[in-house]
Amino acid sequence: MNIPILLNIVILSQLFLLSYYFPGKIINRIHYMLTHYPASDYPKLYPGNNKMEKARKSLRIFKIISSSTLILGIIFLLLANLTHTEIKDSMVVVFGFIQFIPFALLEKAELNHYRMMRKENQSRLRTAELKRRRYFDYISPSVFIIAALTFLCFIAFCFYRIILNQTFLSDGVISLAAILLMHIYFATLVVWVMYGKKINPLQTAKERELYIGSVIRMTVYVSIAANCFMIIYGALQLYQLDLWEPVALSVYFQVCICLGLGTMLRTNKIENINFEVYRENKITT
Amino acid sequence: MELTIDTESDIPLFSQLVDQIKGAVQVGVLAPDDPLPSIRQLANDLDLNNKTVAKAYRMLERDKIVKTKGYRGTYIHSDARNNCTKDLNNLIFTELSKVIEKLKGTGATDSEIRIAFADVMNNRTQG
Repeated sequence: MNIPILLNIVILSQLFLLSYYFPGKIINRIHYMLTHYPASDYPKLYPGNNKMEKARKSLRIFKIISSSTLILGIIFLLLANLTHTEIKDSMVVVFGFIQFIPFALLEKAELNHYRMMRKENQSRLRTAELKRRRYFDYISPSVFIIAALTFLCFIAFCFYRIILNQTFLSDGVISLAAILLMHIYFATLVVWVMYGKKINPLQTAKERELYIGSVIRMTVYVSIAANCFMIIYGALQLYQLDLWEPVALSVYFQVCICLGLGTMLRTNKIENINFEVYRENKITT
Repeated sequence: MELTIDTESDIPLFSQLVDQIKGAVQVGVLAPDDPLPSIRQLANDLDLNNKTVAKAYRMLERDKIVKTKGYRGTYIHSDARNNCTKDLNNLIFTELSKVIEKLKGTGATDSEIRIAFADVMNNRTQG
């Protein structure tokens, strides 16, 4: 199979996953919640004055932006094929970031929602599990070792590139800095999720355990994917296999969304959430 | 095991923590050498000040219900179950009552005893 055809298939797959499949999953999840757990029965689930309207509005915005990125992507792919324009890796990066915009906006809306829930939470009772949280309660040490090994391989590869280029500000140093920043961010996120205050004040202990587990697994899986991708991408640059670079980038975005959002959705199933705590007359914590 | 704190109760928050941890030890939910959550974890989970949880842990350590192993954290004391039955408040009450009775026997008035008690306590604090 020649590379341009493969690139078209891979980008179509990226469009499907990032702008159709995963947004669809999220839309169905929120729609299910709005239908089965309305504000009339579960008032604590919808803080603020306009109750469900705010959630509906966020859902509408998410739908519009996701659909727009899908249409934009199809138009971009059609134009590139019709005008025989070469799809460069920078184009894939820019488009990938555009596809992530609705997810970022949804995350922001979710954080605002929880902030309002915390503000409205008047409960005098607070609960906590009398159990020390340990990192390896949530992830297998073997998976962590794989992540650590891929990270070491990546560092070794970076030093190889630095030695090869004989300049300090080479691509190797830039990729090393990017990966280090990503790992610092992940470490901060894990510490915050494990030991920080609850984002959702009504979250039960069991749900919190599931949430912590899903965040830790997500960070380790994405770390493995990022380390492997940076090695592959670096090798493609080193051996001047430029045509493969957009393919690798697109595959990387898809792997990230499957491991990141996919893990979160798979672990935090809506059926496992205890919605009883959101009822008005229930004594909650 | 789940801890529940009532923020509007008359019982101080640290006492609620101490009582529930002692209760868990007595019924066997917490066994010797079981780890307890870190002060920061418990304080954040209960949305309390770190100092409140630290005070509760200090009280438990004083009563030999828990032991702190440096950076490794806080664990249940090996003799915690027996130590739970020791009521320090009751001991203070009994011993103090004996002393007061003895002083009254010498003819000391209530106010003299109160002033002297306050002075002794103040001197100890200042010392």
